[in-house]
Amino acid sequence: MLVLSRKEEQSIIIGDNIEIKILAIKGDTVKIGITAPPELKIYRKEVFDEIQKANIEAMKSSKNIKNVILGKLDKESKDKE
Amino acid sequence: MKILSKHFGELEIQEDHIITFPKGLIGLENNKRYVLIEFEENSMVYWLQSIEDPDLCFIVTNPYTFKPDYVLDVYEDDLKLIEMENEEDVMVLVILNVSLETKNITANLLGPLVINTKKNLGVQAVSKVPEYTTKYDITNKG
Repeated sequence: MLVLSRKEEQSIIIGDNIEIKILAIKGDTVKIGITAPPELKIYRKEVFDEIQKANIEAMKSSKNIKNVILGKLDKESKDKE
Repeated sequence: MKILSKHFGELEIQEDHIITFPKGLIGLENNKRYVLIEFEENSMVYWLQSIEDPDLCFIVTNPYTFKPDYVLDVYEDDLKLIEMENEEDVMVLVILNVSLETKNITANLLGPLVINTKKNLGVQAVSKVPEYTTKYDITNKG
């Protein structure tokens, strides 16, 4: 990981068209301004983590439901016999 | 083509029904090929079943069924990935989380699935709408 120290109002340039600027530092919070092409995905890491967590949970719950449904179908077909 | 799913038994899948997610789903990047199977006839609820892993499936639905004002506001990069050209070719689905214990149903509005139905390409996009969460409660809606 590249580590750079910056003060308020100082920037970092990435590639040809991305600028990351430190707007303000207050207590334990840093306010960052980003100038980048609109098609580029920029979001807080928590958003990614949240979706990932939701996917895993949904995967587990749907697996359970599928088992219940198939259990029922199984039982129905046995009852008919 | 036949795939084996532990839960659906043996399914006959037509190659042209396979939806490819070039980047997989978020956190599940290794599984890229899925099929949509109707939950019940005309129900608008589907299983999104991986054809690579029988245990990997999701329950998904069209968000407009329970939230008619759902806004698809996602990054252009995601739409480029599915080679979207016409809005008419786009199908939007959200993943549901159904709790067997509480019977609660939540929908993930933050990470919608966007599918180009013409090219059978899909992506799990990231919504730019700040109020959308991964746990939108739809238990008593729709």
